[in-house]
Amino acid sequence: MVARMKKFTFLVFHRDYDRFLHELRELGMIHVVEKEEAALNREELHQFIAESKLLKEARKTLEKVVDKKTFTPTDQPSVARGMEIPAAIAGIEAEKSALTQKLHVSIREREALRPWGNFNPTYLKKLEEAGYHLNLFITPDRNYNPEWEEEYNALIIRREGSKTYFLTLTREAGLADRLNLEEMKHPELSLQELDQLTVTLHEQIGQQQEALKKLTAELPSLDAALSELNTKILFTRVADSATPLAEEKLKLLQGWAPLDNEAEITAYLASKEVYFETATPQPEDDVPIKFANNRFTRLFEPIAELYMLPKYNEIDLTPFFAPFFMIFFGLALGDIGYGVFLFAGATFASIFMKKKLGKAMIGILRLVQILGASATICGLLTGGFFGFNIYETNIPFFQNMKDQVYFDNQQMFNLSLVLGVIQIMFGLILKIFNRIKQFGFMHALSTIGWVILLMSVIVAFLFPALLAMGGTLHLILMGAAAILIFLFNSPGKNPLLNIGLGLYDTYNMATGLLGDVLSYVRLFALGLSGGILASVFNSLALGLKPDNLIGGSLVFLLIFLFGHAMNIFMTVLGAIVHPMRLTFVEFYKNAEFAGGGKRYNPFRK
Amino acid sequence: MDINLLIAYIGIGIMIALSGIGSAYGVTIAGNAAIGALKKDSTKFGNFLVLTAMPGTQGLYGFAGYFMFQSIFNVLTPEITSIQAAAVLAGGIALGLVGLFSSIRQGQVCANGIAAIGQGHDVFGNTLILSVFPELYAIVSLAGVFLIGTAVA
Repeated sequence: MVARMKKFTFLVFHRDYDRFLHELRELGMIHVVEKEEAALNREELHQFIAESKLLKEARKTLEKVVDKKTFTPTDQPSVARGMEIPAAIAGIEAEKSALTQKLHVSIREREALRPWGNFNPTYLKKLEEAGYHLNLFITPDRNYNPEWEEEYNALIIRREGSKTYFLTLTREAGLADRLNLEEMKHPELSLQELDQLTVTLHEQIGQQQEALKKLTAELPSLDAALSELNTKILFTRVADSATPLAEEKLKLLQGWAPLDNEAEITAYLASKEVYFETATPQPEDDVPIKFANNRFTRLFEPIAELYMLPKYNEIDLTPFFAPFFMIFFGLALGDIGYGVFLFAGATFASIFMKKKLGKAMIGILRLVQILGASATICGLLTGGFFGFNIYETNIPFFQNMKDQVYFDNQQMFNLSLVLGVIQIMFGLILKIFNRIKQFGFMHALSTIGWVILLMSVIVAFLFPALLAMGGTLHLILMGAAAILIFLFNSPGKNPLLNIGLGLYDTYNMATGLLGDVLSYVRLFALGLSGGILASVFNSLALGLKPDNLIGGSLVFLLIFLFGHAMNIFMTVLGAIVHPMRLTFVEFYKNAEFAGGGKRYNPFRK
Repeated sequence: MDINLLIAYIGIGIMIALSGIGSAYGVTIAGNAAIGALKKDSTKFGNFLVLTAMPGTQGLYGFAGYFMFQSIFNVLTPEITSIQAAAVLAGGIALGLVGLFSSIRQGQVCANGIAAIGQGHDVFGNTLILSVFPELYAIVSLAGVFLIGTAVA
């Protein structure tokens, strides 16, 4: 069910506008009709959005370095401090990257200097000043000429990796060019100094990292700043959504609120002396959607929201798919043990972790309980219990039950298809009401024709005594249905066109219905394959365990637990997703669900 | 007859191998995408895990098919007739091939969904629903194997 809404139109003097918006936010019940993104081009808004992005980035950075064991958040979060964090992080990051750069350079230099050993570079300078040229050369061993020792005072420092490191001491310059050798630049620092520098740089980088970690204490401030900014963004968007009137003297703002809250809102607005008018929604209005379901159906709303919210003037299908979804889940999971496990797990979590869990999570746990219960009951049809079959035991109670409820594979196969037929017929009947609600009775006539046609065939097939297949009464019914299908499928149009459309409809129905019904086979196949895998894990556990008591039970338990944990994960996933598809594709299509509604999201702090 | 049993086991081999290979490929395709997407948004690992597991089911269907012939229909015995052997081979080829290609394709759907979630689009539910479209045909093949088995057992 969708809550009935009321349209509110406010007319505000421009000077009172800001105060009015604050009052509206205080009330927190009005869903303001916001302008399209393109229409909102105030610079302020863009700035807020950019700032919020920076804050989110900063949050990510801090979350990466936060030390959960020693994390002590600040007691007094401050928005101002939170706003400064991105700049602080940027400063630290810049410093860190400069230091890292330096570190890489010094490591490279150290590697180049290593073969030459540790010496003081100032000696080289002194030699230069004295008019000597000292060159440091690196050459492949085979290119080294021992004559250089005489000619240029060459001295080998080291031979390593088939390279010779040697120096020459000459009076004249330009030896490197003459000998065509690779020359090493004179170092600025000695090996020892470089080692020290590396250590210092490492320390400095560590300090920056520490500084970043320290900043994590301000995470609450960052969150405060983010939420402040979000409030500002929302406020600016709402403020910008008004239409200026009378040379910008007046502002016109539109909003929606649930009909149930009308009295409360009216009283509040009257006390604040706001001028407003209310109206009931018109078909062309884009009304925001608020669900108003009972306790059972409410649990299935998250599933419905995964697809699309209904439009305001169409029927919300959540209450109608909920029971089917429950049964489908049960059949697709199809194991008493797994059902009990889900039910017990959800019950346990909802009792013992109640304080930690939010309202939405509690709702999901309730849903898991219901689905678990359904799987337990549907599991009784086949008797699977963690892969064992309770009907294969010799316990009289189960043997009695087997006579009452047991379905063999063929029957399960048929049951899936029958459920498909039921849900699709139900969808078609809903389509009639949907069309009547949205377009009027005349537009529902062809669907009524289809329902009559299909129902008559089903009744004639199941109860030939009541309605003989192809008998006079059946023919009359089918004839009436054909008239509705071929002549009333789109009222107000040319009858020839109607017939053409009717033929097209027939083609679609014939191919579509067959495929739709067959699609429900998955319920049987999923239940069967899940059960088979469960029993295979049991055979593995029983077959592989060694013959002594302790080792045997340990191996059995390990295989059993691991196997069933994996199987539960896979089958539960399948048992959620496949019924979802049946709902959204087969059921929604036949019920002609369009969807596309926007969620009711009141303007509040 | 030995030759009948041989033919039947070839079918079983094809069924388990192809559907298993398909699932291995499918989960790898999705898993690779998940690792890439984790770089962008490491908080969505739960979503990625579920989507990556989706193409893993076909391999299990192949195995379930083997189990049906083995334990439910009890045809994998030396007394197997040539018709039964042909049925096992046909069922094996059908489920094997459909499992192979459907899980690879399903893996691609999941991978695209994972990439999109990594980029900040909220498409987890949509991807879940779309990704079971290719899987349906593997399920239909499993149901087909079941019907084949019932017909010849």
